[in-house]
Amino acid sequence: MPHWLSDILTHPNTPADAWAIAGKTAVVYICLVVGLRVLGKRELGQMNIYDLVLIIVLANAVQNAMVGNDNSLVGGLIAAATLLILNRIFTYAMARSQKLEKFMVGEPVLIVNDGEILQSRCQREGITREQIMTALREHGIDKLEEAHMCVLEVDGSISVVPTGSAVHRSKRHYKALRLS
Amino acid sequence: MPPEGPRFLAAIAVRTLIVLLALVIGLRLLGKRQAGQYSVYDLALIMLLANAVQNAMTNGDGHLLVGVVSSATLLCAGWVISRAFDRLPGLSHRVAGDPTLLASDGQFIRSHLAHEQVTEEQILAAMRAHGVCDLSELRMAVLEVDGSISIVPKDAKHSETKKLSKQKKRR
Repeated sequence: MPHWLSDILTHPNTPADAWAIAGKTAVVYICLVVGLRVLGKRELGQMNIYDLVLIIVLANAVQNAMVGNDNSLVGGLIAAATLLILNRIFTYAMARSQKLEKFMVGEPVLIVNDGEILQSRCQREGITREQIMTALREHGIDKLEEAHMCVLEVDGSISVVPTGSAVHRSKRHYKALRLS
Repeated sequence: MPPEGPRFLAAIAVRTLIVLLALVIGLRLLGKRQAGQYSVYDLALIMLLANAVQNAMTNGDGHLLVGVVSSATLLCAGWVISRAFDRLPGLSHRVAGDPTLLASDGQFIRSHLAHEQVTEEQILAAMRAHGVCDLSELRMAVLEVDGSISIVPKDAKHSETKKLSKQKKRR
C-alpha cells in the first residue's frame, strides 16, 4: 500500500481490537440511554442551561471510553456503525410493539388538566410552573385557564391543547392521559 | 511539537471527508426519523456519534492546525453540498428523500408508518404539539425530510402538494 494511502486508511491492529471498540461503544450507548431514562424525560427537552450543559459534557465524558486510544479511521467508523445499528434495532423494536415502546421510552404525562396544574405529577417529573407558562406562551396562550391540557411528551417537550379544540376523551389513545 | 507537514494535514482532510460521507450514508439508511430526536435512543445516538468519530478524523491529534484543517474541510464540504442542491433540484430530493404521508383524514397509513418506523404514539404527540387532540380533526400528518412531523388540522385552508396526493392515491 502506498504510504499516503496507509496514512489515511489506518485501522485497528487486530480484529480483537476492532471488536473491543464495537463492544465498548455498545456498552456506552446502552448505559447512556439507561442513565438519561432514569433522569426523566425533562433532560431531553433541554429546557435550561443545566440540562444543555449536562448533554454536552456527557458526550465528551464518554468519548475515550468508546474508542479508547485508537485513533484510526476504521476504528471510528466501527464505533459509528455500532451506534447506528443499535439505534436501528431499538427503533425497529419500538415500531413493532406498543408494549415495548412504553417500556423503552415511557408514557406521556398529563400535567395540566382544564387549566389546573397537577402539582404532584409536575414534582415527580421536575417541571416548574414557569416551564409550563413558557410552553403556553409558545402556543400564544397567556392564561392557565385557556389550556385545556398540557402534556409532557416522552421527548421532554410540553404540548399544549387550548380550550375550544374538540376532545373525545374516550378514545383509546387518551386513556393513558385521562385523570383517574 | 507541530504536526508533521502538508501530507499529514492532507490525510486529515481526506479522513474527515470519508467520515462525513460515511455518517451521511449511515444516517440516511436509518431513515429520516433520526434527525427529529424523538427519544433518548435518538438523542444518545447523535451525542455519541459525534464523539465516536472524532479521533478518526483528527488522528487523535489535538493540535490547533489539525482542528482547523478538519473543520475547514467540513465547512467546505457543506458549502459544496448546499451549492449542489441549489443548482440541481433533482439531486436534493434524490439524496434527502421525499416527505412521507403518515396519516390522512384521520386515518393512519400503517404501511408508511412501518416503513419509516414511526409509532402511532409519536404522531399523537406531534398532534398535541399542534394543539390537535383527536384523530378525527387531523387532515394530514407528514414526516418531513428533516425528521419532524408536520400536522395539518381539518379546519386549515389547504391545497395539497402534488407529490403527497400521489402518495395518497398509491395507498
